[in-house]
Amino acid sequence: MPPQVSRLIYIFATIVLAFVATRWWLQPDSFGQYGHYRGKALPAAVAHDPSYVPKTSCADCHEDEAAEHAAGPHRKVSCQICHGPGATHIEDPQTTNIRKPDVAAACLRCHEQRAARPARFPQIVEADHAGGKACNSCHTVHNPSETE
Amino acid sequence: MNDRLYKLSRTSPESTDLAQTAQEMASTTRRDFLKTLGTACVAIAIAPVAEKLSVAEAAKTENTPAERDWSKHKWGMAIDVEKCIGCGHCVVACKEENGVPKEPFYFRTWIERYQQFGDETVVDSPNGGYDGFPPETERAERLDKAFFVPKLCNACEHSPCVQVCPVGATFETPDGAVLVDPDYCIGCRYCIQACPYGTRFLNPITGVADKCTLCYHRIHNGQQPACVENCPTGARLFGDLKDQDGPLNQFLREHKIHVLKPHLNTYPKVFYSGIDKEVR
Repeated sequence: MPPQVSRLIYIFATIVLAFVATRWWLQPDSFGQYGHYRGKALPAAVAHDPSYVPKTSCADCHEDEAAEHAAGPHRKVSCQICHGPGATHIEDPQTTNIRKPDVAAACLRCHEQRAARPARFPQIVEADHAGGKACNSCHTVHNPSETE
Repeated sequence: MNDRLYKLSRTSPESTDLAQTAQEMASTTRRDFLKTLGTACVAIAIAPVAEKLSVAEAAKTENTPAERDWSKHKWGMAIDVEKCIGCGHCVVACKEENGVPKEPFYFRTWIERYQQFGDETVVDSPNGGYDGFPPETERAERLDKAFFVPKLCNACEHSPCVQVCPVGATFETPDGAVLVDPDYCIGCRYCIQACPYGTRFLNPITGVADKCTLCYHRIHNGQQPACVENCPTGARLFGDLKDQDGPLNQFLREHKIHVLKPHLNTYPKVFYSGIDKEVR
């Protein structure tokens, strides 16, 4: 083989080898396991803990409230909608790490009259409905269909 | 000019020797250079091999959880616009659950309010609906129609964002969610431009692209996504498209379904029931 050809072959082989080695070095281990991405990104995406606990967890301790809540129109509404995420509260039950909602704001957020809300959803105009009285002066908070 | 070339091509005995020596020197250095290069390449190739092998050994001995079957499901979501009351609890829950920065206002999911005045449609989304919605505008008496539309990543089957990512950092999982690998995202923002639904943003804290993951950490632990769990009216329905008798497929059978921007052929897995032509 003429030397100029063999030299070219050596150079070419070196470049190919360097490319393969660099690719090997830079590419993450699990790349291509499921597709054109790092396979280990999947377990990593699953690995962090939820802040919102399952709906049923609250009833484990707060039986009375849960029973009251289950009897009312809000039975399908999660406790954590008003009270905020409960993961830290479940680990260390304190009054400071769970939200005590502002009752009026919590009610009106859903029930104040808005034209864009579906017509069959119960809505009030606050000024006409109670004249500025607090919602919980008439309604029981956990079962608002009951009035005091 | 021709003269000069002639002179140069004519070589004296001394100059031939010199040229030969120079050629020898050059070839020797090239050979040496190539040898050194070859050795270096082999060294470079071997070092990571050894490293990777040791990593693989370490991974084997580690107590890894059982391999999950990532392709068992095909996740999707249905949104019943006629049930959405625009309370914004989904937006709050999403931010709490996923650590989405509260301000400046970035969203993985948000709510839009459509108001129709004759031929004119006004869309607003104050803080994405995080604080609920203020009363309709002073033109409320002329309002023909109004409704809320929750928006989120459409989990496209053919995702433009996945196609444009230059480093393979965003991808469609075997079970249909579109995720971002924060370790490999280089923050180039191509995906943010490519998403036709505007669901991506650059997280100012992590510096990488961020988006709805369908609460991947929750759905793989048997829970519903935070927005679905915290929807008081059940306007959002999350489920498995592979489960033929499941609630999601049942919903899709029983309702007239639309997807957003169907002409783009992205094949979204977020299905809307009851949206109007203004939304699409």
